[in-house]
Amino acid sequence: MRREKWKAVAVCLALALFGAGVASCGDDDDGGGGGQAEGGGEKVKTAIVLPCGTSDPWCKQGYDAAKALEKQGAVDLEITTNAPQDTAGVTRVLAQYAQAGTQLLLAHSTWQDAAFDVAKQFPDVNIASYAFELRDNVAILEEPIYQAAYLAGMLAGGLTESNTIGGSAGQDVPLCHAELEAFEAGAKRTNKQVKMIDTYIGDWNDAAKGKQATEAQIDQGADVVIACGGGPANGMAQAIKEANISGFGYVGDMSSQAPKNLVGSVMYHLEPYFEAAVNDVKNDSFRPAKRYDFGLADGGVSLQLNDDYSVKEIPADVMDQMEQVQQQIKSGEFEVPYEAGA
Amino acid sequence: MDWSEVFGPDALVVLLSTSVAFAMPTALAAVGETVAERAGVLNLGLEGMLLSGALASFLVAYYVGSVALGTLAGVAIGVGLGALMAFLSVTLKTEQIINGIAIVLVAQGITIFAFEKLFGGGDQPTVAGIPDIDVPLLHSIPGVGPVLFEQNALFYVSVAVALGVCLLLFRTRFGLSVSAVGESPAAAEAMAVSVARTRWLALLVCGGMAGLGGAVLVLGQLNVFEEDVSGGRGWIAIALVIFGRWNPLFVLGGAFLFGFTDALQIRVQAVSGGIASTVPTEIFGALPYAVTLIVMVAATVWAGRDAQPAALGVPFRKEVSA
Amino acid sequence: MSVSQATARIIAPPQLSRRLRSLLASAGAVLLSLVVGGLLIVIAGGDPVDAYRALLDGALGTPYGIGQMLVLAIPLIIIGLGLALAFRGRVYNIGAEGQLFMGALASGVVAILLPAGFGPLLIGAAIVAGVLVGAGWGAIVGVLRARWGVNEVITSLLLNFVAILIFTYIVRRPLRAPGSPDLQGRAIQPEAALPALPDLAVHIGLFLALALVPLAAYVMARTPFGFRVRMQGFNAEAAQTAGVRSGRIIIGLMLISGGLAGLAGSLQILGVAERLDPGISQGYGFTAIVVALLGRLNAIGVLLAALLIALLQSGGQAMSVIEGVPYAIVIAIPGVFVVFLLIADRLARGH
Repeated sequence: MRREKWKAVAVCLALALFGAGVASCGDDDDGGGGGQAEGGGEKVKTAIVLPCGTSDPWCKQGYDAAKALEKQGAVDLEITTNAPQDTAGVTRVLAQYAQAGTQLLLAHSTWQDAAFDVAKQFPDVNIASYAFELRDNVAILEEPIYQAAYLAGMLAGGLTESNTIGGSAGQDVPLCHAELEAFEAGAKRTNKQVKMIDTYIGDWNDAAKGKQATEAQIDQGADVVIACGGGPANGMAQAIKEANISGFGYVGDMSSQAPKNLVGSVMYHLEPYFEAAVNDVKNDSFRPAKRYDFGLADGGVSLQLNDDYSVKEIPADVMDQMEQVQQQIKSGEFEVPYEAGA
Repeated sequence: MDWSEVFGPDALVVLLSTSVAFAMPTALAAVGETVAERAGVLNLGLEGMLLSGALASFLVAYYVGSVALGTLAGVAIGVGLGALMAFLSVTLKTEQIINGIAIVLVAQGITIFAFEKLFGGGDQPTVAGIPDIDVPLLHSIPGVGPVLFEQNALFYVSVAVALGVCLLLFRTRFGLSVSAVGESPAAAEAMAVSVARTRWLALLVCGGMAGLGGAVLVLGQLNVFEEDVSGGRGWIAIALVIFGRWNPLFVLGGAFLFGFTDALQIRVQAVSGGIASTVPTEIFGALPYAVTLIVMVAATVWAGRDAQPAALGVPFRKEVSA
Repeated sequence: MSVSQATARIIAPPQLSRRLRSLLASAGAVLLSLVVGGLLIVIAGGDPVDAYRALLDGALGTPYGIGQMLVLAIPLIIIGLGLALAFRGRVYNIGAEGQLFMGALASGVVAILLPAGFGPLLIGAAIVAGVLVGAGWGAIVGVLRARWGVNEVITSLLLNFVAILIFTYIVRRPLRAPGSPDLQGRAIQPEAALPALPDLAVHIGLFLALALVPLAAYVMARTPFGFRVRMQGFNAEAAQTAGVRSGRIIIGLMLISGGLAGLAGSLQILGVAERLDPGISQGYGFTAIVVALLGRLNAIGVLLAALLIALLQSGGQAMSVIEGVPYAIVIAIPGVFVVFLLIADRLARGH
């Protein structure tokens, strides 16, 4: 037993010595993979932290929007993908960026606690996240995806021949609940007899389960489906391709996965969100932090149709009706109902 | 809710067919693990082997264009990781549990990294996948036909492999060596059975089967790869080995039972028209685990004896007599 | 001569004293793992020296950083101690993650629903609730094994999933944070939050964790219970003959390790998240298994191993941010480290 303790001590000593050695030698690099910010000039030092990889549509949207801003020259961008899944881990990552002098942190998930912790510790940093409470330097990003889902539902009502449609989601959380409810409401608007099947698979990442869920719905007669969450969406795409039915993509252009079967995709455009945040930081108008809410009317979400869709002909009158409602939403005449669930 | 839509003859056939298909990757990994554990090595790296096999098969199928080669690549990677596990656990004789967990960590890190590096930022890549095959004549048998004989081509390969391994364990000398080595390595060694060699081979088989499971998952079912596509199947497989009391046939049965309840809960949700508002979806999610647990407890209570290989998890050191 | 024997001879010739050999082997292992880690970093496009400096800097460079590292170490220490004891008795509790979540749930519910009143009382009640429920969840496994011989590895593993689902449900429905678009539970009442140390960003649960170390060492080495546990672990049959009641030991070990896991969950809720948050743990219950094994199932070892793992993870995250090394590689590095440490351990022991 004593030998074990000596070994442990030896390991720690070795590490400590190594640490001291590494710390002292080597040139004074400023570290960091991105470009050098020249003073507090033009570009805003920004970092985006993604909870998944870009194979997940949610993370891809964030990635694309941030990259677009970088291309415009508006930001000096650092990216972290596949961030740790525990709150403490996320806090550490955000804190590291804050410590490195990042001006704007885009925490691309529901990381309110981590954001608050870091915001308190580093009062100079500005954070935007999917929170539900504001702080002086923590802004809220909204995700009004349900608005576009309503329009998708209207088309679904016109497309379905079996009068059965389906929606699968990772968890029954307000984001997805509202999306599926809006899909159903939209469908009922163009087709009073439509019946909706909701399945919550309990996992955001399991494409195999997502595929099973969609297949189960297809067996029950569903012929138009939608999804909420990366796993369910990817699984759904495979299922509709195999069964040759219609579906709608989730928060990004998923048409490459099932070109003939995707009527369109519910798009979540993060550019207006990120741009607004970046500009606020640049103009010193970030605080007190605000709620960034760009819905259908403001170009934050949209329903993007897929030209290659070929399973069925979308009835012209349904299409017209959908476009009409779209105009009404944009002009403020019509407000899509938001049902968050119990 | 109309239960005939879940358990009625037509629905049941579909349900069984789906369960069987989706249980296959887990079943392969579980049977492979059975081989390893019967030889006395607790291989916790299964999840990593499954995941790596999935990625390797996807990459080869994507870049080379051949799903057959992709499948082989998956198996090869699995075998390679099995060799690594053998080197660490059998040759160097370090702690098996940690070796396994380390392999999982490294595999997870490298697969995520590689996939991001190759495809990050672009659209989700897909591969053509392996087609389904309807076995002539047999698939027309009512009931059993559609369940067993209208499956993906890789499914038939998997079944052959799984049954082959069962034969291996029960009817060959190698199988006997495996059992001997797992129960009493000293006695085996005394009878000129090389413990090290047997365990090495067992781990190679285990790794290869896990890799094949990964290939089946990606090429036979999903046609895409995502980070963490294995979704914990490796861990369930390890649990299934215990559930099946280290008998590969029971292990296969357990894998199917688990897959069945998993498919069932999804189907019930669909048929009920989404009663998520009344019955919490978590209850559905818990169903497979609860069922497996209950069956396991019932089976153990009824069967009595402990079937665990006596030398499981203990590195074998040849005694050098003075 | 086997491979390991040959390598051992090269690195640590038998002529040297045992202790020196041990030191050399350990240092060699650290070096080797740094090299392999460095290789991974190079493949990922980073500079190893800078990366390691960032790792140490991030974990230890600032008081906030040290605090963050300690926050991670606390649950690893607490759960690791429990598992070390259990594993010594050959009770393989793989369900610490589930026991953590059940304890966290109980603590959270108490901290949310009980009338605020006297601060420390509320905290005490919440912690006790967490320990009891965690212990109870573990006891299920213990009883199944003690009474009917049901293998504890699988029962504890499966119960993990059930526990997390229960937790998820409570967070999603009855105790959801109002206004939250996703899975976030209600915040605990402010009186129930654990105070933090002034400069370091760590809650006072740290002292509890540190105090448990000598306590665990004492229990393991000097109490009759500890003795019986070790006997049982070493040779169950002999222990039985000697009158050790294995059933009681098994249930006792599950109660203790489950209770400690529940305590860890409780501290996560009261000190870290301060709400019912599904993100209070990402596999800590499993990492603690590695910690217990790496620490050679003794108390000091667990403490050091927990600190090491916490250092690697915490610093690794910093490294990924500063050096741009993909976080995926950071996941792999502790694994590499641990394996080489074990190899060194093996080589140092010699044959």
